[in-house]
Amino acid sequence: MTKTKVRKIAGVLCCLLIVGVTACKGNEEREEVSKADDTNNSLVCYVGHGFWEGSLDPVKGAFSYGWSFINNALLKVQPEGSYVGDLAESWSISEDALVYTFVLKEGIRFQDGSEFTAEDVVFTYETVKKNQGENEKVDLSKMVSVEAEDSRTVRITLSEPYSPFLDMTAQLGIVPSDGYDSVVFDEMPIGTGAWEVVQYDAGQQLIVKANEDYFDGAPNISRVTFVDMDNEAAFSNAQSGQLDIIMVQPNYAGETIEGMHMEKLATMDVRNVSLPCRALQQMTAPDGTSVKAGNDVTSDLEVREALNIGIDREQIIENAFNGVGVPAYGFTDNLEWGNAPEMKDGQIEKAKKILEEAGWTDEDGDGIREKDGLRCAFEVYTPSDEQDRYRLAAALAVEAEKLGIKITVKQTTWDEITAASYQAGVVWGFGQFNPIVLHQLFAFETFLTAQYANTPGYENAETDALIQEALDAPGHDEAVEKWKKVQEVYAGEVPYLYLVNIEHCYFISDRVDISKETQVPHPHGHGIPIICNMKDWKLL
Amino acid sequence: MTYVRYLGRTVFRMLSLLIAVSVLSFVLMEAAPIDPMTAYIGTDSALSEEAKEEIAEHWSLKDPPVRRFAAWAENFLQGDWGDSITFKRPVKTVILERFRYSVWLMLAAWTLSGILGYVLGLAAAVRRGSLGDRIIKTLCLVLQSAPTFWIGLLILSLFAVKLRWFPIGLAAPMGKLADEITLADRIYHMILPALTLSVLGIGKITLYTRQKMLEIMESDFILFARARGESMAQIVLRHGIRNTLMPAITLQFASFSELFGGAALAESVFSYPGIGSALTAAGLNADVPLLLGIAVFSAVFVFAGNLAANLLYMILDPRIREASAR
Repeated sequence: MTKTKVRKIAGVLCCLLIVGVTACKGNEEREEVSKADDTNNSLVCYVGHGFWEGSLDPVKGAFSYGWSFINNALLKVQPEGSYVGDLAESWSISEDALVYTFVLKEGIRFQDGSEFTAEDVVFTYETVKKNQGENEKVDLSKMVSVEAEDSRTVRITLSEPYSPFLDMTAQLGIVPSDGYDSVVFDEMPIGTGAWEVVQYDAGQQLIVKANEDYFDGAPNISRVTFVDMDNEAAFSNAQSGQLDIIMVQPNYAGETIEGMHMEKLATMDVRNVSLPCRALQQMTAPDGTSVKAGNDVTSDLEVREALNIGIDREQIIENAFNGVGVPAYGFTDNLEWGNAPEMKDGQIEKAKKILEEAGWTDEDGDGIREKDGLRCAFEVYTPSDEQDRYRLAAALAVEAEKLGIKITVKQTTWDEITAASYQAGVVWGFGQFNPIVLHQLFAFETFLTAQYANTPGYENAETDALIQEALDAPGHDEAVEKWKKVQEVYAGEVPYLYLVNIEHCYFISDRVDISKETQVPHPHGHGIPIICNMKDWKLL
Repeated sequence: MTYVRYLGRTVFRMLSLLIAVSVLSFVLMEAAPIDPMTAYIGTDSALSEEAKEEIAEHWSLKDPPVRRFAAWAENFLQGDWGDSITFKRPVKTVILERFRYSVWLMLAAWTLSGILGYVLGLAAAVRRGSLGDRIIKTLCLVLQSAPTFWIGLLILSLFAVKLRWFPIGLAAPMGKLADEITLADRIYHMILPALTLSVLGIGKITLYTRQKMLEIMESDFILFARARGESMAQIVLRHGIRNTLMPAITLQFASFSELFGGAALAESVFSYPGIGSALTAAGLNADVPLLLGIAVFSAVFVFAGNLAANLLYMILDPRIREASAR
């Protein structure tokens, strides 16, 4: 009697399960049908986790990469790294380098139908200036005023000469002065760009459609969905044929996905290790706090030089990133101002000779050199949430050991890295269009004042003078010239050991052409930059 | 009169809980080795010092902790939960947007684990020592000790990746517009995370019910019932359920806190855009207003669960009702 009861219960449970499973199967078929319906001219992409969680409002720093998407900026960056007008037809800079005048293109309309005029530029710049705290990407602190001379001309006045301001104008997307609403624009920004927001579910997906009236030509693809999930989930989805574009980490480079092929796209993102240039000492920061800064090993120029020419960067990239990446000796050539020295690495014998002549010899036979009782050893820090930086440091340590230099790799939080950064090496990642990064890394005035800036304590009067000249330069070209010189001067002193120029890996569906020739060099932040030229993408 | 006193006591307890939770969360956040400025602008930022000043001022990053907490508390009491520095949107908007997803997930998992756990517990106790009982017991012990995210990964890789019965992640089909999404779509996307989350509670409720039921089965009144010739079904229906349902319900309501914690893990495994992912982001970015908002919100949620258990007890069990009325 009781046995049958239990059987009945079990039977009911089984039925429920079967019903559930068949219901799901039915669902799956339905989904496939709906997918087939609209795959004709639409894409589903994964370009990284966490890009689609916050506000989409350019006033709050969204899409400030240097290329246009929903909104256009005054300028935009080109595939070879130089600037060209986007909403601006032309621009000029006054002799005293204080006044920037932009002449705007005519006949451009926002997606809501309103006409784009100088008023909108003034409104956007003023709003960002007023709410600088909400925008961590576009820095308008040097801007004094912005005025519309007429409906097509905008005049921006700075408080002091500051050549990187021009780069900023490529980063700030213009919003319509009449239609702007700071709450609505978090989800549904209106711009002049090639893409219009259809729907935004923060943390889940962003759906955009082509702006058929885009002034620079309507996109070929009519609708694109960006999904937000983690890398592994995205990879599984790609394997089951759900995604057309998926960003992957270099360690996936060896994988294959049916119907997709791997693309490695060029970036301007370089990874380097800071090498403290000063002997260890107690220093006083400008704000009065006492800081222990310097490192007795890396402050020896010969040690830094030996590392620079002795390590084999190809090998490091092979070990750390499966061979994905390009050896880097400085900022990359795809930046207008990038100027890496011509040099050859992997010269182990030459490096050893430098060290020996400098007095670094292995006396106790443990494979690590010493000088006056000091072991040729130092630490390199990496953030614990970034495995690729750890792998890079570990691969560097292997190469350094061949020269008799011991590198101990530490993984910790940015807070602790900050504290240690003045006495040890840190793996940094830099990649942006704006050359102001050179001021941050090499100007002595940033040492001990700004976080993450010039942690090696590099000090060179010639460099400082050149940086100031670059900042004060009245024209973009003059500034670029100076920035290039800055890099020539510091190169011999190796305050940073450049290792690799990252490449971004994506699997692309075989039916999609991402127009590689119009891709701009990708800035720091793997994932999203691939959409820089989405307007030019085609379905094959 | 007693009800008024009960109400007063409850409100007092809730307020003290909320204060404790917010203070503790704030202190923990302050002690965490995360610099909110770094989390916000990144380590490769070349912002000028002026701009950084303005950012610090706008988000009150430089004020002394006590003043910051006081400012937050004051605004919070006036209904302003502040803005999330991570998402650059009002905390209230973020929480409500995310909770919309989480609440259905939690509700489904909670109901499923309650009903299934209770039925399994009863079944196991009735057939004590049988193969079924042993399987249920072992399974429950395994589920009870296995971490949620691990179970989630197993379920994900089996049902979604390998068998492809279910979607891998998200709460809605990719690329589908909100007004095209059907209830079936939502349920379909919720099944795996809800299953994972229910596994968290099922072991406990099953083992508890089984134990309780066994005690009852050995009592004198069951012996008497058997002697009267009642069938097993009658015994379970007349005596078993009556005596085990109440504690099970209480236990289930009291599990709200685990439900909330489990949801965060299940959501992250299934890329489900619920409150869990917002909580993780808040923690990693030292987003104090968002973290405090979620902490307070979840404390209220858990408190409500426990309160509901108490009230249900009073309503359903005449003995307690009379005792508290006295």
